[in-house]
Amino acid sequence: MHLQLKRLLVISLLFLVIISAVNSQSQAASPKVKLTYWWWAEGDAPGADKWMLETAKLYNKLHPNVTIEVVPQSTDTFIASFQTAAQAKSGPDIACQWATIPVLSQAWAGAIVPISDYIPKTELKHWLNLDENLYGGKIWGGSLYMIGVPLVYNKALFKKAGLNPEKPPITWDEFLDYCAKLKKAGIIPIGGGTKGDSNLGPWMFSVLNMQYLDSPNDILKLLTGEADFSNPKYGDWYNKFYELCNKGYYNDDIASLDWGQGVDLFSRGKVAFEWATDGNILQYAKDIGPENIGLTRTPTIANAKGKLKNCYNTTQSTSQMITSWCKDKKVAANFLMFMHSPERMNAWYLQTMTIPADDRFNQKLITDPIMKHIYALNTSSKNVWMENYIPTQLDTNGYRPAGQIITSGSGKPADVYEILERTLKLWRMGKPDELARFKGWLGRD
Amino acid sequence: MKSHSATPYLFIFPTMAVIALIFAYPICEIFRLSLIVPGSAKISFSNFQFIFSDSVFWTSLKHNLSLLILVPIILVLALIIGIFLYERVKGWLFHRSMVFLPYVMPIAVMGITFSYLYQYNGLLNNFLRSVGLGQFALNWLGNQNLVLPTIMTVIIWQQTGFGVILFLARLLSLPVEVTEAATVDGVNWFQRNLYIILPQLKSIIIFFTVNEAISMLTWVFSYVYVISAGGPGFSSYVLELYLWQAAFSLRSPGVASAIAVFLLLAAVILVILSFRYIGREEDAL
Amino acid sequence: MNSTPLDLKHQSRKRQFGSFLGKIITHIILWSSSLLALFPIYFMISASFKSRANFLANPIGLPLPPQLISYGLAFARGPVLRWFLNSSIITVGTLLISVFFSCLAAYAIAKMQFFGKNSMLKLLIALMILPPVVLIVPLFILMTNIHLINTYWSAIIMYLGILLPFSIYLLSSFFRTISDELIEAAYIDGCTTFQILWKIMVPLSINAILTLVVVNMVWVWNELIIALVFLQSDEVRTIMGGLTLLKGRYFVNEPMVLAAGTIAALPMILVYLFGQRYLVRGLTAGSIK
Repeated sequence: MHLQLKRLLVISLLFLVIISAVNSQSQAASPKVKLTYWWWAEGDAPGADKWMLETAKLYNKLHPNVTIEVVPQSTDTFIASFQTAAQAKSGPDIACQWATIPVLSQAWAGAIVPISDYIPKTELKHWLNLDENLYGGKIWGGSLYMIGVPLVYNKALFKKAGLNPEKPPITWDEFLDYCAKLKKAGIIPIGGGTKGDSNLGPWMFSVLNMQYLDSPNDILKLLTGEADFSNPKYGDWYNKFYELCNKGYYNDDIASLDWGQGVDLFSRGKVAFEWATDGNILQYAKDIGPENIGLTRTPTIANAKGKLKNCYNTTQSTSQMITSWCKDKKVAANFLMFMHSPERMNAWYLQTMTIPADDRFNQKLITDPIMKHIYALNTSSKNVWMENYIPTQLDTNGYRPAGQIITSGSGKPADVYEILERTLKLWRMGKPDELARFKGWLGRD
Repeated sequence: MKSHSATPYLFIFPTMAVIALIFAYPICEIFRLSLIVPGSAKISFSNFQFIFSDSVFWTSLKHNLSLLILVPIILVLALIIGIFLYERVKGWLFHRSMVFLPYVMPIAVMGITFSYLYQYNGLLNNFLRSVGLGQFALNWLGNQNLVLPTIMTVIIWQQTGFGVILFLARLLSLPVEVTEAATVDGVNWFQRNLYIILPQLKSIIIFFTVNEAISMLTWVFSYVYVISAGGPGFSSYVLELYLWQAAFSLRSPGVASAIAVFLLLAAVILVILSFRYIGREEDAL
Repeated sequence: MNSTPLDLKHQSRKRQFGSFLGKIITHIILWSSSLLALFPIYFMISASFKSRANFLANPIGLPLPPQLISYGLAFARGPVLRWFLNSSIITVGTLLISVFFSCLAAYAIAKMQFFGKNSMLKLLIALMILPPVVLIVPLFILMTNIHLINTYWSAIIMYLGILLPFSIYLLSSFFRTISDELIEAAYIDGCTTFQILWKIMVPLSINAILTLVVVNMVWVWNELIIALVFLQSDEVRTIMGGLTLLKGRYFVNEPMVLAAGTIAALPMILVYLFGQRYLVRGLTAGSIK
């Protein structure tokens, strides 16, 4: 009896020793990696958070030694949060920021590393719109999805005003004509809200000023002061914007509604037109019925003669960045590549109904007619979103209050030019380092 | 009481540590930060140059100064309500409670509530239109000239209660003989209040005025941020918001610190002046 | 000093404005004030109990029957409970520490002699008037560099700094009224200074301390700008900071936001209903010299 017991004990002890040896062996072979991912996309693409949590889980199944901790960020603070983390050089390993300037600012500050250093060209060439984060020959942020800004219209209201719901306005003059007819029929032509931190001002800059420019780099002349708003290339679009407001084509309370309330006007069937994101469209379809959703591009302005005139307005919106203090940059890059794997990209589409930024995406998955239309618009031509190319100061302290002034009827374009000039002058004075960076970046070729 | 040499210092140490960190350090830092610019080690006044050449700075300052008009308004309202409460008619305790309630409500919450009420097609305007006063249904939040006065009404709504409580407390602590005497002599109600009661409140009126004045200059961020974020345009910008923008939007600690230095010096001067004025008043009494 | 008799229910005094007209005017003024004070709060609470459709159809009326859907949406929209918890933790933490530190310092100022005592008192009074917005930028940078940003401590320390001057001023003027003989006796009995503070001063001043707690609680709970700057991540965000997020960029639902607002304001309403006396005393005591 005793001998049996002793033997059993020895065997179990040996067993335990072997197990722990094997365990530590495997640990040494692939050390545990934990990556913190400050994630944001839900505001653009509802369903994104769920997709991301699943993606992290799936990756962990494939690579049990890697855990991705997904930390969803809130819309209003994820910029500031990351900037704070960047200052302390600690926090997330992977993070999101709005594309172009917010990403490149971090590149200039040394807070992120180029993903093109860690992801092979053969892979990156499938990712769409990467040139939004191109600087110094490197790609600094990865795209994941595409958000377009179409002009959406309510077909039922068109019919009510005697307009053909299948024929949206193509040129600006047609647009004005449609608005006039709608107004005559007692329908508010265009919906919006500019109060508080609404982005309507910068949006109008993006969709209208673009038509006068030959390339995004053109904005540099304005930033350096070489050109000013008296140049129609940079100023004339305000006349168009002002026209819309002056003729009363916007809802009369536009200046006392905030952004969300403006978006909501279309949901409630109160306005005929609204500039909105792809994500909004799906909600609109639920609210007023998909058969009433009409989509078109921003109407083209006759005297705008820029090469970008026929571009569409789509952007990757937010970009995925790898931080410079991340200890496992290669693993982080692998995870980003995993996010772009066909299965994951298809799942993205199905769960969020927004277009993945990958040319390997299986278009056949798009069965919804509205989504088909959105996809067609997004891939129809070159895409530029001008707001990505201006300094934050010009955005929040320039185009935004300017939009408020125009829509509240408090000023004409000439008044607005003054304010914008002032903002630019102060930016040059207060941020000479940023100005130098812009010159280096946009002044190429 | 016998004092042990170490004990008092031990007892004040935690407080002094906190004060050193929260007050001494930042006050020195804002001076230092305001005088440097990125990329150069030399002292430079360019941050001050920046703010003084920025019309939004002057606009913000103008707005803060125009908020001072609220001080007499709130003062008068609080005095009136306080005096009527002092009558102690039936239910006065209920009214006192109600009038003071706004003061404890969070500004963030009430700011949002008021912004819904004040929308162009919101509650207030719809009400005015429904009773035929449509011409008074103005664009309270969307008109550059109206947004600041509209925010002022919210400040009045909140701050009046504070004054009411102060004045009422003082009134209730007044010796009864003073007010009784006036009645006997056949003085009428208005004269009694104006010439007998009011002077008793002098010191507390001064305290309230100084307190509110400083608040108008330096403690209105929450109202503006929540209701209008400074807009439309820059028509409701105040210095605190301007500082906030410089720190977190323009991301220039130098400029933000220059604004902080300005605010600090302004507050200090204001307090010194008011203490001197109070001192003179009390000497004169 | 804090004996203003505000609850004068029993004091009967001849009313001066006794005429009928006078009474009517008084009631009109008082009722108007109360209604104006109450209406926005009523609007918020009643809207919170309506669905969006109901709210748009009937903005002012009573919510009959009351619906909870807007509250449900508010909780689904953001981690409202978490934010509420964060506010509570920060408030309680700040209160505990500030009362402790204030008692210590107030005792020293009121009852002990030490070098620099008068200067310290003057300093505290000066600090009460200093605008806190001035302090934010350097402290933000500092806290970021020492990795305290986005932790409860960053906000708690800020609030401590701002509240301590007033708290110490209030407590020390109250402590001064406690008789020296009492303290001497305890000292002779062999009590340490700390024991005297804990066993004698504090119990005798419980009213003043409660007042301090209530005033500070309201201030910390309602505070916005410091909460926005130092507590940016959802894990530590306060309910006030969270509210500004719910106002949301993409879609709007007014009753939902007002439901969240009601939740945020509720503790203050409750504190007010039960602690009004202390609140009033605390705020008036600072002014009556």
